[in-house]
Amino acid sequence: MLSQGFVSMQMMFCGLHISGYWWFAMSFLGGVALLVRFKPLAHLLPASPRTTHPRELWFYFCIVAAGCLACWVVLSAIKIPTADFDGLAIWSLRLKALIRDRTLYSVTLHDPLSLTPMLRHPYLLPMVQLPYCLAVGSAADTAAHVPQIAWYFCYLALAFSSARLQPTWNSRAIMAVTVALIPAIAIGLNLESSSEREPMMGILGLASVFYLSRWNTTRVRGFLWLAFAFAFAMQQIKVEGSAFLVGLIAGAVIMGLNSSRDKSNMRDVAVGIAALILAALPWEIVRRHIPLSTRDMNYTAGAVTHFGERLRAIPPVARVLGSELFFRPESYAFSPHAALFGLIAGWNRTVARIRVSLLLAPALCLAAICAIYCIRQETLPPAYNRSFSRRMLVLMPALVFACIYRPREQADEENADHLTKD
Amino acid sequence: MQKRTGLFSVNALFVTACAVVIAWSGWALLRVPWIRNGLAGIPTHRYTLPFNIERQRLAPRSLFLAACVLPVFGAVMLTRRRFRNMALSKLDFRGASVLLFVEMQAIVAIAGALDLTFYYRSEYSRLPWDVDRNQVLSHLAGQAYADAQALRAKLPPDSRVGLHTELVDPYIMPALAFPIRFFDVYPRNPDKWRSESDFVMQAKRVGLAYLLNYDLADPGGPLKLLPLDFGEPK
Repeated sequence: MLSQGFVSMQMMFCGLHISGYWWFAMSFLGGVALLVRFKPLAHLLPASPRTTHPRELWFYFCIVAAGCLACWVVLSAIKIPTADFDGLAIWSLRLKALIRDRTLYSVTLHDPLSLTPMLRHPYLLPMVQLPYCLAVGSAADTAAHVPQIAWYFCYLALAFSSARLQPTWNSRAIMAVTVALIPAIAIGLNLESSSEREPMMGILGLASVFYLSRWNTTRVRGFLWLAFAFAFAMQQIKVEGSAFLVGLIAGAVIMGLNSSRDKSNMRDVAVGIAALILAALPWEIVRRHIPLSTRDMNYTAGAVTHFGERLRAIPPVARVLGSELFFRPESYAFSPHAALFGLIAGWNRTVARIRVSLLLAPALCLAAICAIYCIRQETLPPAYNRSFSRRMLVLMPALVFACIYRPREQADEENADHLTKD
Repeated sequence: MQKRTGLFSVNALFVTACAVVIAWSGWALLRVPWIRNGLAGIPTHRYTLPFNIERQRLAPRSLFLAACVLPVFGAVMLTRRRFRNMALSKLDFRGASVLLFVEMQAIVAIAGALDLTFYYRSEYSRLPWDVDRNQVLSHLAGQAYADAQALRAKLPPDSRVGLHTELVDPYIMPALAFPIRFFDVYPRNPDKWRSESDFVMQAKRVGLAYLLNYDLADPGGPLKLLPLDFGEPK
């Protein structure tokens, strides 16, 4: 689905028009790939418990809760229309314009006087939704929400796969429930303060950090490039993805150093970065040719020259951040609390280099979000600065994973008698 | 035969009951507005803002209903011998803590989805799967939605309109009135637009056919539509 959206976008950057048949072609290719890789996909599912130890009860509780959230996702995607303001005012308009024009080279995009918001925002999400809308012939909510259903089930698979990486039953339980049972990923689509983009970016961020951890343990270069690809997809959905991508690249560089295969690792990282630059180039070229509209707001204006004044905004932003992390159970349950506990309790029991490498991407994204809020304290009305819940969604699953993750080889030395075999 | 060892004699159902009590009492306490909003950093004069009301979502009733799901689930599990052995086994402190945390997390996650059902019922007087798209748009956009529909009925599709509005977000009208196209082109004096050469030049370039002054506070009606005629004045 991501490949289809990305290739469609590149085609449009070249001035080609999109047709609905493109979706069928990509779906066919995706189906072939799925059949070929079906057997290994079974490993994503958790193994059935072979004993009757009570500690395995967590698995059944997790399944029940995850099943409830998944049912809500399917129900809301099919029956409930888009209910957030940005989705209504911005992204549905973008989707309708794409359905009408079938290309990105249109008056809608290139006229600075046209009242179309955020023309220079990335286009990947509407491109992923577009083929499904073309197939039904309109911007129907049901068609536009199809990607969200698919991505949520991928998210659950990622969450359980993350749990399988953990060495002990207790750590598996903690990882599974803290990652899989973040309510906002499922219900964020239906909140007025949320949007369609942020839950998807949260899923992509989790996938990115997950595959980076897989590269750490296996050194299979495909995992590294997958991590880069998912982070790049984030960058193509929303601007916060840029900070995440930079953090991921830095984390990969740190993770690749100080090991016995420095040169090989750095070569893989360099190839990945080169591929990213090549993939990002078309959008950067197109974006430079899109003029600023008459209504665009520059949130970073004066960020450097008025730096001293921005410092005064740090305490209120810090308070909002703390509130967002630890007093929003309706959005994140107790995942941030568990993440903090895991980070503190597991710090001395983990190699610092690995922990920092995984944390860099979500941490840098969080720093960027806080910086934006420090700037916009003066540019927007106070009501807009009381929460950044939808932006926290972008990094929360990845942050929780990075805080709780313990490499299996590290735990081998400490808890050899607790290891389980799959 | 499962070896029954451990410091604590913890029955799975007992742990579930603890989770119910803790979830209910703890969250009932934090539902006290001044405690919750103080911790959440919300000033008292902003309690009624929709975004802040969302931050207080997660009613104790949803937690209680969600917490009831687990004992029912546990009762069903106990009908099988395999799970009875699990329920009657003992856990050490760490295992019991993890199991309690898992239950709390599951309760809150299920309650989040349940509470959204109540939210739709209170906001739209319907269950989520019965909510109409027009109802949602009217709720979000208010009068702007009705005005946009009126404009769509009045003008041909693909009309090009120069928009002037005092709305904080000027993009809501273009989104709701699609496929009518809106442009940020408007004269300083709409009654004497012909005398403004820069406006005439821009309007001709984008192909404007109408001017729209959208003012919700106007007693004569929010939609002030003026057709443009670029022919020679008589």
